[in-house]
Amino acid sequence: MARLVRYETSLVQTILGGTLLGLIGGALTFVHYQSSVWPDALPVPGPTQVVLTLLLGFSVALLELDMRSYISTFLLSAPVSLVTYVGLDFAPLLLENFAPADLFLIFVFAGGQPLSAWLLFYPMLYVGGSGVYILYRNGPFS
Amino acid sequence: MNRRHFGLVILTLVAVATTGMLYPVLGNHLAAGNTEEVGVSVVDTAISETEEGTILTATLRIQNPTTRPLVVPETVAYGELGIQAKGATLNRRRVTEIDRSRIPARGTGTARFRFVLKDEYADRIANLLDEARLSGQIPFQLDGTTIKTEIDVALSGGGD
Repeated sequence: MARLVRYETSLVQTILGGTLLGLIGGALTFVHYQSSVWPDALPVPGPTQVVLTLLLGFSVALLELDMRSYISTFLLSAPVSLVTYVGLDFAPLLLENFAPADLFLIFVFAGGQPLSAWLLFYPMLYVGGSGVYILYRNGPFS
Repeated sequence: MNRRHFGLVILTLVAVATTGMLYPVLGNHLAAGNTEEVGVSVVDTAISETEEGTILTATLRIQNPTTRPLVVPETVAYGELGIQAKGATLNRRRVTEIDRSRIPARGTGTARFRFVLKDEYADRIANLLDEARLSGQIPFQLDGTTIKTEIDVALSGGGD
């Protein structure tokens, strides 16, 4: 079986890469949440946001990072994406000088829907996109 | 081009596409945050008799402080917007008809709202106008998103 991952990122590359992925992931979650179709419980993402998030994970997998680097960038990108998404969602309130701690309370007590929308969108689709590439490299089509 | 370069190209394209999608969505989101400051005032009212019954037409001046145009919908459901006086709702249980209007960003426009009055108030409407208020929600459209704005204005020419 061909070795899948090879490139080891430095600390700076891990931080920069994780931050960039988090910013993109948070922005995609915000666009998804604002423009999606609402069923009874959770917003359903449009195809554009789904495809872009899958491509995000796919493109990182194409970089063929070693496992430590891949996991490190993903673990850093997760909280960055959540903070980015919450920041964009609360942008009108931030512009009115609401305290960040108060906004965090509002977010938590708004219920699990925004958090669930993030959880079931960015982390899942990002990992799914990477999984598509791993299957391609090691699965029945390799 | 090797796989890593291809991956970087895709990553760049995703970043560019995301930024392109983010700009209008964030703009609408910030604009929607200002809709509670939409100013509504009554310009004039008119009473007319039709086959449907007695119609009260209220012309409203709407000030749009947001950075996007506001569209006034063609209809408002009963219960969302009504004429109130002496603790009673004067208009019939039906949809309110509106002349669809587009209020420019950071601009002012007018919209005419037509209410069919209940029979028991039709004859007395002239006396009730001084005390009557238009209250409820107007479901403005802001770039395809419905933003419900609370209003409560006196029909005799008061502002919100």
